[in-house]
Amino acid sequence: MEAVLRYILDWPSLNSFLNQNAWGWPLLEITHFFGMALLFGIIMMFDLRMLGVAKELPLAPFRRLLPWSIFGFVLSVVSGLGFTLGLGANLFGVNAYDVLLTNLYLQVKIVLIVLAGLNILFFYKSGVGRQVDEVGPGEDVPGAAKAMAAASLVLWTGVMYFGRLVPWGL
Amino acid sequence: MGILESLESSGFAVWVRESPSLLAYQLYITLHTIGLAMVVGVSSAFSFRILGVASDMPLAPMERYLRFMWLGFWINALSGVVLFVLEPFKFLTLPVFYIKMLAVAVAVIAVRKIAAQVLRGPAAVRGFEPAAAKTLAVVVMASWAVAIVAGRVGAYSTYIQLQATAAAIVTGVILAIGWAVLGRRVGLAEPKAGSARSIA
Repeated sequence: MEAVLRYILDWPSLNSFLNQNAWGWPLLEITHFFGMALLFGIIMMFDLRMLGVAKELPLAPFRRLLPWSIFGFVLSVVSGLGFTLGLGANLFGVNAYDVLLTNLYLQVKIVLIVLAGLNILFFYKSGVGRQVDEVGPGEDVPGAAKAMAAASLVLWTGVMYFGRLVPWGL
Repeated sequence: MGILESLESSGFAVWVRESPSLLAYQLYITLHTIGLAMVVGVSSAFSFRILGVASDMPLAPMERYLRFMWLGFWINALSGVVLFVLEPFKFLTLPVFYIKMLAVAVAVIAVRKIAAQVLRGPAAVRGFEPAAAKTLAVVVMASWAVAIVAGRVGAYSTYIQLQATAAAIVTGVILAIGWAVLGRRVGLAEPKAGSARSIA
């Protein structure tokens, strides 16, 4: 099992790309920060609306901003995989397997991303998302939606906090 | 001894630089990251809306998010001052540090104009020049992009700073072309210029 995982998590081509192009690693970081700002900023505004900020905003049209948050998430995941799978280029010979097994900050961050993802899944699958779509200007969202909005704010803030600490966990 | 030297060698700066405590360097760098997401994320959302995304959403109530944007800004101004006094002379010799400060200043001026002219005040009620608002929106996003690139590459050598900046510009151009070509199809890009609803 360990051998299989080590093999899957080893990307020699990515390592050599990052070794040969000095701009590779900083470009990953830049992409990660762009993605983070889009992802968190827009989700935060949506969550705050559900918690009662800017109540004059109807929620159905607000959802049209959310694809940009998803775009930010995609940028973050792609660059984040680049960091993790290409770490051997930055810290010579390190396999992502060991990092995932030993880096407490990265582990907490991944758990928080999974929880935030489950929160979003639950939001849509439980029908709360559909109820929220009907919420017009000046109206309150259901209590369950408020709880999920608060959880989302805490979880994504935690993702950023622990994400920034990852280098100290190496 | 100049003020920067005394700050750099102050007990506080030494502690923040050298202590392994999560309340030392790590607190300021994490705050700087979270503040960045708040200020850049919220002002990008304003810009997207002005450029035509979610055009059914009324603009004026978005004014309520300004305080969260400024909260992010002040978190970053304060954490930024702390990070600066840790190594003031390193930052003052980095060209990208000046580029970053300039980009932040431009972004702040443009976002203040958006706040005053688009989100609130008599101009917002009366209506305004959509073209001017769109220019401001593009200026805001472009200057935050420059600020993030300049801030990130500051951690590397000058050669890498130049190379990474070039790489970021090329990537940005590719993404912009992608947005123009594909974004329209999946509904991410703005509707055609002159659309009656694009600003209201």
